[in-house]
Amino acid sequence: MDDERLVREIKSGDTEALDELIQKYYRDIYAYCFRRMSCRADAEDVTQDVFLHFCRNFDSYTQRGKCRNYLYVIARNLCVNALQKKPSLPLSSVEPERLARDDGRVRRADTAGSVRAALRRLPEEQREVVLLRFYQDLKLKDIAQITDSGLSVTKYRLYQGLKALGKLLSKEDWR
Amino acid sequence: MELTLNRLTKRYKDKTAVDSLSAALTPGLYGLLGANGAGKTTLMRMVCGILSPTSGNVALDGRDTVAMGESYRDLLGYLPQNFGYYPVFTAMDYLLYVAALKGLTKGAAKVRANELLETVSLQTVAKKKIRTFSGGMKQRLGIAQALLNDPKILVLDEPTAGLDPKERVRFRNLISGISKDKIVILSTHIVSDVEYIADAILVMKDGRLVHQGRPEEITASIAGRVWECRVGPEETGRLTARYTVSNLKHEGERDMLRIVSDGKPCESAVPVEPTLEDLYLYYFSSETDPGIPGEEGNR
Amino acid sequence: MKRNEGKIREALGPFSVPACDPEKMRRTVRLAKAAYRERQVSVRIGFWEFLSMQLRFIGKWVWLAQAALLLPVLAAAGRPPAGNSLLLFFASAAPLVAFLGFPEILKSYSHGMAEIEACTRFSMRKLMGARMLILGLADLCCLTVILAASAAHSGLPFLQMILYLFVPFNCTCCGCLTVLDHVKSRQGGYFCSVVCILCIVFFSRLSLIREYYEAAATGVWAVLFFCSLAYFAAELVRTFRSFDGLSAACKGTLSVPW
Repeated sequence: MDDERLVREIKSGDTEALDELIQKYYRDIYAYCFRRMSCRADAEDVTQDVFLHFCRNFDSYTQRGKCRNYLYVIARNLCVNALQKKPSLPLSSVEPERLARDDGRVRRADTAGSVRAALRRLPEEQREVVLLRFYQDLKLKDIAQITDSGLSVTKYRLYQGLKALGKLLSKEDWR
Repeated sequence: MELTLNRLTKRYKDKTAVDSLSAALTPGLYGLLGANGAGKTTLMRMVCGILSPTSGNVALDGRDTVAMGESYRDLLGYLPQNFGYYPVFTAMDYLLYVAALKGLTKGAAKVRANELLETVSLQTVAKKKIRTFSGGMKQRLGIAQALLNDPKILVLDEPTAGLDPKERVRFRNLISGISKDKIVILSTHIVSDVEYIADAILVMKDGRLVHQGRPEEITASIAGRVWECRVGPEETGRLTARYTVSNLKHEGERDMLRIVSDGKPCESAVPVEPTLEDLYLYYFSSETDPGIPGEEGNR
Repeated sequence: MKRNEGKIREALGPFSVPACDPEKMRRTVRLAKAAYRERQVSVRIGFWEFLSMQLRFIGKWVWLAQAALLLPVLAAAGRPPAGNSLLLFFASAAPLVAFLGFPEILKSYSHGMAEIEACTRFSMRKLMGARMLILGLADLCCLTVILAASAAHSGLPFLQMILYLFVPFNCTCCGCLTVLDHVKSRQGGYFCSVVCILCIVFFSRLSLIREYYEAAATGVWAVLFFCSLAYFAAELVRTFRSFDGLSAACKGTLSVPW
């Protein structure tokens, strides 16, 4: 069922439609939260809070935009709040991925750590746009709506973010 | 949340139904015990705001409930002792009607009505007219309507009247489950309705609160006044006529009597642990019908 | 940028996400459903939505009875009335139109629902107010249809017709409201029907005396109209105020338990 129909069903009291909506977007929201929080338990908690917030404030969701974008807005705000409450960790103590035995996987884990560290070095707005563009596969138009900025500003942030990431990860041709 | 009854009084021309009753109720289940005419229904009506007290008031967290008006009634669920229904209504119509009065939206009303019909096991007769229901079914429907708005203060006046033992057990479990964060006031003659689930018992006599406390606390107040003795049939007659007998069991040639009395009723009597039913009889034995309690095979 | 998108994705790819726990997702669904239910149940409707919902609960017999009253009027529309038949019809129909709504208003007391209704959010006053508003408007529509259907061929001035129709209507309402103010039980319905019958008999008898419907008597009818209207308004306010909890009904027993 498409999102508009799902929302209509939920509005009429059908909680099975709510179930379907959550199942549809849970993984995406969780992935976004994980990349923001860098901690699985925190990501799961925030993801849960996103959907609870959505349900409790369902009346104020007037379907001006896509349901998916609205969920990302909630996720973004809740991640910001959660990160503000957490004591800031030094970059080196970001939750490491489980290191594997063979070199290939160790190299990959190192690379993942580098990417994570590099992303954390970006200014908030640029990191946001990069995450939503390359990990959540959202269009720039949707990202602009989620971050409540203009399309050209969003493009600029993406450009600047990739340039900075490229330097940090020593990739010359990212422009 | 605290519901305070401040010196509540209701006086009629020829009688005082409730006499300067004060109590402070916090979330939990309160069993209101009293004989007919003790003032329980009058008290409950004043708590619900449908009867104005002669003096005193009811306050919720310090705010007068009359002044609160709609916002207080929004927190209430009430099941009166005698209630009717509109003959053309089905069970679903009835719940939707009361849901509208309680201010629920159409969607919420349908959802709650379906949930509650299932809770009280009336979902199979949802579309049947209430006039076809048995007394027990009507009572269950009454309980369902009281719960529609998920009330924080639930007032139930003799809710188990007309229910068979199995239904009473189910009702007890239902109420016990929901009383965690609510103030539930349950008036009853049937002591077993509240004995095991009430957090506190309020004993009312002649419009006054004569006892208030946890069941074990108030039964302790009549410690040493409940006796058991095994006697012959001729002695049984004498003791039954003279004392309040809460249980009589025929055991072959002799009878086992459970007697509520200030003093030792007979030589062979031994004091036993009092129960809530003994307490009820202690206070209300002169007000009960002759023959209640009668002989019982088991308790 | 588009050219390098593949390379960017490849570089960023290693930052993967551990698989989500299905149990956590199921828990989220459960909690979300509960939160949604809670929200749903906590939303409250306003008075106007309540009013429109009450329309559904007005007994169908009221609408059928009104339709039954209107049918002969509509059937006879377009034909000149014979003799005093129009005045007789006004004299008997107007009290009936007035009376039809009162058992419906009283039903809370006559069916033992008052106690439950009195301690709901909308309470007795708003419930009675809603019923009176709906039934009052329905009565007005009914009377308007009767007037409109009778106007063309009655031969009477329109203002006089209004007086001949509304004076019996007002008088019946005044009587029934007085009953409602003082008797809030099943007996109230019986008293209202007595009031209705008395009004029908009185005004029907009156309608047979032509002199009372001459132009010269219009002044008297006008005075009766305004007096009955004033009493109607005052009694309406008084009755409305009397729907205050159960003070009146509680003195005796409430109505019939099943």
